[in-house]
Amino acid sequence: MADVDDLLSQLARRIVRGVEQGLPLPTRLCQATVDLLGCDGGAITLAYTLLERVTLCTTNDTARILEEAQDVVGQGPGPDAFTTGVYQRFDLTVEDGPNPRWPLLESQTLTALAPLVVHALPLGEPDHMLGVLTLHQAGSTPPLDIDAARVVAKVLTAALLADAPTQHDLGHAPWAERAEVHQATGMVVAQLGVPESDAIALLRAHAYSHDQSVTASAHAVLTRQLTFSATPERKIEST
Amino acid sequence: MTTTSVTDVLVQANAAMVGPHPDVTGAMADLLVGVTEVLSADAAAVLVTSDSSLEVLASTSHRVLDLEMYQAQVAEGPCIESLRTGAGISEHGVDAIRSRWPVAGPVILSSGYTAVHATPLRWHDETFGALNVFWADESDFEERLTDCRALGDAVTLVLLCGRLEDGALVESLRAALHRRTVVEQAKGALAHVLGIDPGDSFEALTDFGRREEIPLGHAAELVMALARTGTLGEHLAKSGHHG
Repeated sequence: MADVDDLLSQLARRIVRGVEQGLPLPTRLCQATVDLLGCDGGAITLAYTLLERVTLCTTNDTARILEEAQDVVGQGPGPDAFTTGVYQRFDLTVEDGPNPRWPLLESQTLTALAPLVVHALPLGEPDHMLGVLTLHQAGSTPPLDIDAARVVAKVLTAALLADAPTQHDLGHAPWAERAEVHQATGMVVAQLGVPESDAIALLRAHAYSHDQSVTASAHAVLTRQLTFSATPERKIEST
Repeated sequence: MTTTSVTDVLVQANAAMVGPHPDVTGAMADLLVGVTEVLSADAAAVLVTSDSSLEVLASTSHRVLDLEMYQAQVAEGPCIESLRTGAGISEHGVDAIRSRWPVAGPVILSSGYTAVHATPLRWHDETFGALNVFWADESDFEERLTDCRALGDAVTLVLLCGRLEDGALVESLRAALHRRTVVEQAKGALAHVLGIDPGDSFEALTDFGRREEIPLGHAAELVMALARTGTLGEHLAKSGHHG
């Protein structure tokens, strides 16, 4: 594997240098990791399978599509890495049928990205998971050095803890964007008198059936274009 | 003359974290040596808050004079000021140090230092300690100060790393995420029941907390508990809430 000191040295150099560019730390860490490990893109998402889930950064559209797709269907390498604390790999190919492990993780949008290798690395210890680092590589890229990626994931975990969001950050993207999902969840809970987990499941189902992100469905709820009603005549009303 | 750079020190800090059994005490001692080299300083220490007092967590020297100096800073001095203001604090020159800190100043001077700096160490919105650096020769210390912030971050990283294994920090960050999530959910629930814009419902939530005489976090939890059972509207009407 790559020399650990050299790896860390390069990472540290980028952490210091990026300060002047004014980019938030998660973005700098993610981009540095993608470059260092020879990947094409990546994302960092905290609390992957929980209500508190928030994607801190995506370095390109492919990374964003992968995170949104797993957010909608609730399965894939990211959710598994988060719940098991173990590295997960996902080979997105053109010719195969649905992936046997994650059958829902299939859509035209995803297939259009193939061939692609997706790596999901847990951030944190198995009993205390913080989030997931997701990296992706085009089929032709040299294979990922998993050991090096694990070392970087550990550094990222500590760095993310050191850079926990302040009250100031919370008013801005990506925190503000995710706040809309939480508000929409609260609205649906109040509309139907159901637990939060059911409300987010309904938002996910709506996003899945409309082939859009959970954020987009949340926005429809907040703007009252989409209402879940508990009245017996019209159980669920959607426009 | 040394060639140690800020990057080298950050690498040291990172390397200390990725081993199977992070040695925080050893890593911190090494780190402080690196800090003095980078800053061409003569002494450095990390002081952290402990039960409303300051405690020396690590220092480059254990000279009696230096220890007395750190002790003297419990009541006043650059560390305390840095903790209170959350900003970097610097002072140099015999007269300036003595007049700024009548008690701690003379102790700093008698230890042989004529320039001092303290950089706050932060976790979440809270300042939990300070990196304290001393120079015997004050001539060019000011141009070194820009590096202090990055070095303070390196110190914070090592301290956090030492606590990664027990998971308390991860749980603390997750708890913060959870509190934030529930407040946003409660804003949504109130927006639905009161027929207002979710963006405007924060005030409704603080009103609710005031009426129930509970803090914001509890108010949000209560709103959601009522919403789950479909009784939020009823409860608001009963307690005379005007949407």
